[in-house]
Amino acid sequence: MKALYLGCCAMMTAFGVAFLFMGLVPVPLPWYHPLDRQWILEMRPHGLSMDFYGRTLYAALFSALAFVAGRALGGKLKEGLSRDQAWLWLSYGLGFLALAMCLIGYQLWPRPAAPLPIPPWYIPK
Amino acid sequence: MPTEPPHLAFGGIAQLLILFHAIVGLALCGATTHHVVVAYGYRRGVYRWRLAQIYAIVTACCYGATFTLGMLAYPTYRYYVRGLYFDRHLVWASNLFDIKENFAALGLPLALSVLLLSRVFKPAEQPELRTPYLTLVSGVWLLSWFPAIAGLIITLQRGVPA
Repeated sequence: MKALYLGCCAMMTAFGVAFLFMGLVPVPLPWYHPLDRQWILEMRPHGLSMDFYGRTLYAALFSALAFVAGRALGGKLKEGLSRDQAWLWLSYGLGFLALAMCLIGYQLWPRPAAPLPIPPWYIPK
Repeated sequence: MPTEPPHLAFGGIAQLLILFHAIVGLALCGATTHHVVVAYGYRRGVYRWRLAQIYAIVTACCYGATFTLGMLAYPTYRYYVRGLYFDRHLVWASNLFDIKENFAALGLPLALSVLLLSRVFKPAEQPELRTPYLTLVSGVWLLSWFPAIAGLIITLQRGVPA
């Protein structure tokens, strides 16, 4: 139970850290270009593109590694899981997830609009 | 600029995807709410942990399915809804949508953790984990209801008049 708990806390921490890092530092991501239906690994894309899939994939891979490492580390610890330790590990996980949420809200809520040009076939309803 | 409506991935079944996205999301909100009630019972000495295991499985399955269905419909939303309409007329709705999808992604490790922990957690024997478990389940509850409510608010923008 202790190993699994530590693995889960490490997984949450890593997921939050990954979103925080990718929100602050530009990294090459697999961007999806829906009009061309293709993936391109790039830092600053041109045209209509989506980074959500790439960011989620990176965070999932990083958190999977963290889960394995956390679980292995937890299995080696001799002492049992105290109430304070349980809260400490959980607060790392939830804290980084909360920080990532704050950053996302801070960056996205005031984001300026980037409307696409109206195509000739478009009929407003 | 496309001279005819572009053929986007899953564009032909996007409405169906959104319909199932909403139905499974509804089940998710129900399952996670029931799970919070059961986990709160641990603090009062009511240990219905087998029921919690069922709710954890349903929550994780519904969370994954809702998230996947939303991701499949996302390219269609990105072009037709956000690109051509929201970014021109309702910028706040466009930004709220992206916030809620990112928050939903951040709930994935929480939902998975609750599923894994519920398999081995015995509240009567591990009192030190009762409140942390309730906190985790409450986190999943929050990250299920927030996207659901935000999604409803966004959808209402072209629904009934305010």
